[in-house]
Amino acid sequence: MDNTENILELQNVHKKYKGFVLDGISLNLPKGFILGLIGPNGSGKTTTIKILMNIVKRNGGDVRVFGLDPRENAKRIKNKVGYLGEEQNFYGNKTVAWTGNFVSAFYDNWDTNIFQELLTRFGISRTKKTKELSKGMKVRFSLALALAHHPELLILDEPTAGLDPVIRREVLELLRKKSKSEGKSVIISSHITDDIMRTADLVAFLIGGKIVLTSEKDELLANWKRIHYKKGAMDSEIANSLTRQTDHAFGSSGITDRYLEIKDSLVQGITEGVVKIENVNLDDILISLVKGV
Amino acid sequence: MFVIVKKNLAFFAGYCSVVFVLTAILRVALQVENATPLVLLSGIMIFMLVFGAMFFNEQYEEKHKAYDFLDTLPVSAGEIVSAKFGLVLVTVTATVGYMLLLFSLTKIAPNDWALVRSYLLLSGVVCLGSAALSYIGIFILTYTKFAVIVMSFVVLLGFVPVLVMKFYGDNMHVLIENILEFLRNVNWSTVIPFTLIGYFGLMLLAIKIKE
Repeated sequence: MDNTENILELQNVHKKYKGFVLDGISLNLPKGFILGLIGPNGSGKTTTIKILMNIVKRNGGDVRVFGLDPRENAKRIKNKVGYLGEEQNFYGNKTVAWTGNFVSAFYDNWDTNIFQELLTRFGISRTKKTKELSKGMKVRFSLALALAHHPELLILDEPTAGLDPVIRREVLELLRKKSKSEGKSVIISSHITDDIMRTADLVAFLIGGKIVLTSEKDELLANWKRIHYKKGAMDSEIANSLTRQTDHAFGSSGITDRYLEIKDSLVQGITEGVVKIENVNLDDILISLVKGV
Repeated sequence: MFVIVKKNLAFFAGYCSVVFVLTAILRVALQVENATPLVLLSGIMIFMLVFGAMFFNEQYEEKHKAYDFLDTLPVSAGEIVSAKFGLVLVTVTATVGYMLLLFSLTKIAPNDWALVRSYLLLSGVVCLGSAALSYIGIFILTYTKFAVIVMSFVVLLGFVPVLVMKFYGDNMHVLIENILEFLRNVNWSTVIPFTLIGYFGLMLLAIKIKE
């Protein structure tokens, strides 16, 4: 992946608000990949995304989208980006059709057929006023607007918030398809780790304004495991290195972030049935990183 | 940029239609030799039209978080601001032109015609400057905060005649004569280009602020 062209690069990016600091974050997104930005509320996900879109000005660091600085090339960049923000703002008294027509005038590659097709697929009436759309409908409408100009990069801030499970699944599958079959790059922020689990190739954890971990999702899940063990069944150094330790009927358990490294030393315990390995999900990893224990 | 002009045009065109029709009706209704009240009213109408349309438009933009929406689209601050400034310039030019045309059809002595023309042009110039400064104020403070300040300012304007009367007392005719003298002597072939340059300068400042 090192030789792959990066669609998006952030180096040591800073942003300071009253009571919040985005503290020198660095991230890369290679072409054709989906990067999931995970973090609790208020961790800086939206700020990071707004910096990419030049909606928020950074205080320091370097940002490149398609190799261009958003501060100087916002219009060129936005022309190639499909953006779905945390909030969906439209002219409320205007119809879906009017809004589509209005937005289309700004893009070089607007495809009316795709837009109409997406509206139909999402069940959105063209004659409805945007203020009459439900939260979920607004998200779907925003997604239709974001996809109708053949964007090379999708920047999505909490795209599934407020969606029912059926639509949520459909949206995530659509994003996955866009990335895999059309080679689109996607950065998606969410505090719903299940969404990232379903879609992302790469994962970055943003906590308290800092990127605390970035990894390929599969590598991450291969390394992070919950280990259940009976007392004395495991090397004490390994046992002490586990985080989120709890005691229960089987014995004790904790989470490791270097399973592939310690795997061989656990084989005997696993064979004897005194050590059990369990997969963790991104929620577990996020909580471990947030709590730091 | 044209699509933004088109969107905002509805507000300005609506106000223009009302003011244009109203002024024409007044012109026909008031078939008087002395057109002074109608001239004074027309100057005020230029302000009412431009600020009415502008403030209603900005209130609408704020209500729908339109600037947040536009921020997500490939459109620069320069295009958004110049669309707004352009529309105000066209509206003021059209309104002043319309008023001048209307009064050119009225029986006015040549000497008074110079005053009428000067007064309407001055209204247009002041209106342009105020509108530019208002946009800057809105971009800095947001519409609601700026509107509160403007309303307070308008209330304070009510005290101006009182202060003028107190200051001039019985010499009010001197003040009026000075104003008329000023209006007669304005060199519009110089003032208009400078006004446009100043307006353009304020537009660039507004773009910088919006960015």
